[in-house]
Amino acid sequence: MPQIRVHEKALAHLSRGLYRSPASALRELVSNAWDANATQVLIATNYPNFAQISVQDNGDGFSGPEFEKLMAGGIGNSEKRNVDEPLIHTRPLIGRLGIGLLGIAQICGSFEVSSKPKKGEAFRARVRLYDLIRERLDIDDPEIVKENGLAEGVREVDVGEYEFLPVEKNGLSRGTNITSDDIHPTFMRSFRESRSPEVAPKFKEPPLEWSKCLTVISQVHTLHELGDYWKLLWELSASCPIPYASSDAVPQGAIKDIQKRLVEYEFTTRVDGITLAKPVRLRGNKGGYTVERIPHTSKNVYGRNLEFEGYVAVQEGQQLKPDELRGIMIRIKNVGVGYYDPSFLDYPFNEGPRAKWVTGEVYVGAGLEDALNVDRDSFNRFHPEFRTLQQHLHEVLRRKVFPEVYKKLSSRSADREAERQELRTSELQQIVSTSLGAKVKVRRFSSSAEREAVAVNQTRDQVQITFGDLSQLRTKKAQRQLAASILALYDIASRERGAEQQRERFEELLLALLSRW
Amino acid sequence: MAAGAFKFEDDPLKHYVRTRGWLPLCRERHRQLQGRKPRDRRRLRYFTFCAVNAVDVLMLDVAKVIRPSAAGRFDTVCFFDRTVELVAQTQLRVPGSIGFAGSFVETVLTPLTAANPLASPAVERDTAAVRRRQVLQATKRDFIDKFPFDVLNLDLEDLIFKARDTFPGDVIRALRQLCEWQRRPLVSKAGTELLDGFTLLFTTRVGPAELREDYAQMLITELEANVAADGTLVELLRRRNGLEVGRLQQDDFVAFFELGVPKVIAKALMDEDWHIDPNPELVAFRFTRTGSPSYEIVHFAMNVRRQSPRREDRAPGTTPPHVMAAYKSFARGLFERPATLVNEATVAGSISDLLSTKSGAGGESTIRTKWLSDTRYRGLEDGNARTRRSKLFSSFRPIFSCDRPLTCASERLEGGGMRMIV
Repeated sequence: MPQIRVHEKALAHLSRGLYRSPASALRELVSNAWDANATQVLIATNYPNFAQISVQDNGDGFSGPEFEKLMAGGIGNSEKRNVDEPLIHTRPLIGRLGIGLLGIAQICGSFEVSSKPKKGEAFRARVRLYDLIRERLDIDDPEIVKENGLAEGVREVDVGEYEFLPVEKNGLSRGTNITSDDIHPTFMRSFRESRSPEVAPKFKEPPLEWSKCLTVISQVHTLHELGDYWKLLWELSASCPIPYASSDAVPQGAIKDIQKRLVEYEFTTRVDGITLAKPVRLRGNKGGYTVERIPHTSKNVYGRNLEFEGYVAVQEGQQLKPDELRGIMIRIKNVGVGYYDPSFLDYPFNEGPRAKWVTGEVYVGAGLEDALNVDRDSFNRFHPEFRTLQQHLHEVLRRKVFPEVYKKLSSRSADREAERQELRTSELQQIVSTSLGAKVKVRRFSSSAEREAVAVNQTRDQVQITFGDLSQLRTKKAQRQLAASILALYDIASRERGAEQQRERFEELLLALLSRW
Repeated sequence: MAAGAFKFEDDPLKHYVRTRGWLPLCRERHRQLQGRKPRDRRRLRYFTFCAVNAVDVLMLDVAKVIRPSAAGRFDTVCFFDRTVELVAQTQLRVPGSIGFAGSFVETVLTPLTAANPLASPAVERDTAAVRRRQVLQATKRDFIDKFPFDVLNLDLEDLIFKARDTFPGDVIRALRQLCEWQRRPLVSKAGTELLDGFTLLFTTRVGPAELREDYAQMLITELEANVAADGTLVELLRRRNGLEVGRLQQDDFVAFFELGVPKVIAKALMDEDWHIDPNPELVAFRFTRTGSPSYEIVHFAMNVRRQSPRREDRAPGTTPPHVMAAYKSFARGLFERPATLVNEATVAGSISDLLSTKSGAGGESTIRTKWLSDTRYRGLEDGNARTRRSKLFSSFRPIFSCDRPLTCASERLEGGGMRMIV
């Protein structure tokens, strides 16, 4: 039976446009560093000029021959690390496609790689990616699309070239460093312009402490208001396998165990001197938070294990800021996949504005990798493992989270109503007392159907207003209290002697009431 | 040793120049800025070729001459370095500073052909050459936008006169360009300000001994003009090394260079409506960089003033009399006071003084300067930026604070630092 092959050009295309944002490309390099046992990744964007970019880690590094192997056909073909070589601090292995190194090609035309491995010689190489590659692929430019020579009809595609550069003695420290000064002008322009008030109206110089950055971020509706640079910081903080700013970043200890684990991994990411932490910090909300922990869960799907845990948190009565924090973030091996999903993995019920109060994270420890699309930013939503996770999450939302939210909502509404009524009673008392110079008592018998809606008893120095069953008043529920109060004032005014005095008293009382209502 | 690999930061001789030559002038510039009315006060703007360890920036930070913004950023510090990697490393050490990678001279001298260099061109294709031109021009525009600076520290550690350059040399052409940009208005919340002065720190290698004819002639012409204008300079020169101007180049090249180069700088400044302020006088330091081959480095530190009235307010082609007088005074100062020769004994004297005041005279101590690069890496791992910097400099301060020279034996250690016996 004839075999089906994927054309080499497909992968060549991937080398230039795989990720949807620069942060996604950088996230792949950060993931590489994690897999290389690095404890620190330093990203420098040359802020505020953005004319260069560099990603440096202190991991195991790799040797010149390994680099050559990767360049000669290993891109997108990386082998999983030998399971006998576990990562430090019991880290799970992230790597999969091995295309991360070329991810930076999305924003630059050439770059330099230098690495000093744990064992073996250090090397430095300059990688130059060919210009106008897509056009050249389309016309099968013979300079880059060549016969493989090993099998008929199999062709190789060259996407660029590299050369080794001299390495200064003791010039490199352990780890890998990727730098580029050939940043695409469009990237530079876009990031620079995002510092101008015309493009990013709420832009501020990012403070060097991440907690202060979070304060700035929590004051905008969307990260677009702060511009591309802030978006880059936020996206990296959201997606990298780094700890939270503190273990109480989510109330009720929902991330305590997760945070402990993340801290134990000993992995930090610094961008332009800012040490990033996850961008979640739920605190200070007047209405409090409803938090539902998703305990560690294990399910078998087509004979494969799917393990996950996490939380869903609701900021009661208050939209989360920024918008980008709303929804659910899925993390595979601690690395965020795409952005927070505001559809809660296609949750089918309309929860109205309540949906804007919800944020959550699901940490997938095993499985779901096959459901990941090649950009590592999205899922095949019909993959059975994805469907299983989706179903579980929807159950949590439908059966636990939103019922609790509605319960609290109803209780808050009742409390608010009672407060409002109390305030209006006191205002009515004040108005009548000021106008008549008499003591005023207001009584309510809302449950008593026999009583009149409004009754007024007046003596020389005391007025007693009694509100009974207001449902007798044939008006909208929201207007009954006002109507009852007006009737009471009318009753009081009608006790004046002449028609003119009655009118004057009523006008005085009514206007006073309306001015405070 | 490969070019650029010399650990300048670890060199105690260079420290001496930083603390004795640069720091006092920068402090004074800072004092002037802080002496203004409260609404006109601002942070000092500093341009440097600080190299990775940014010792000069850290020194000025410790001396509270350079201050971070409210966001903790040293965004009034700009620097150039050769590569992206070096710029990134420096920015780690000086958070928030503005770094430019590439050739300083090439960037400054590159012609600007587009109003918005980063805009996508309508016709040209997306190729490496087009992108490079775009980025280079954008970098130049960015750099221009950062002007003016209160201190220009042109610590080039390179030859000022290169054989391949067109006369009067790319460095001098770049310097002129910088001086032109120094006239740009500085726009801040307080309003628009035109600098009336700045501090110029200029470093160059002495040489090459076989100076190209046109360069040599330029220096000779400057010196002859000085001598013609002030006959007493002949006697001053004779007292200094027993030579006449005509024999200087052949018989005392270092003196020839030390006397000639400041004049070329002064000329460039005057061409751009500035002049060297003779009060305080220009200070010069010279020392030898050991290596293969060894070479002499000379540092000039000077205050520069804007000519008054400004060029646009005076008749074309005229120079204010006080500027001419200042130039004469500056030229005389050069003949009177040769550069301070800095060597191990000079520096060791300062350090031994410190040791004797701290622990009593006598004894043996080893002062290592290598820690600068190592501890700084470690120090950056944790704590906030301010604490990190303080930590890094806690043991560096003494070198800045000693000022009474003493005699002592000393030897330089491999890899930086020196051993001394007091």
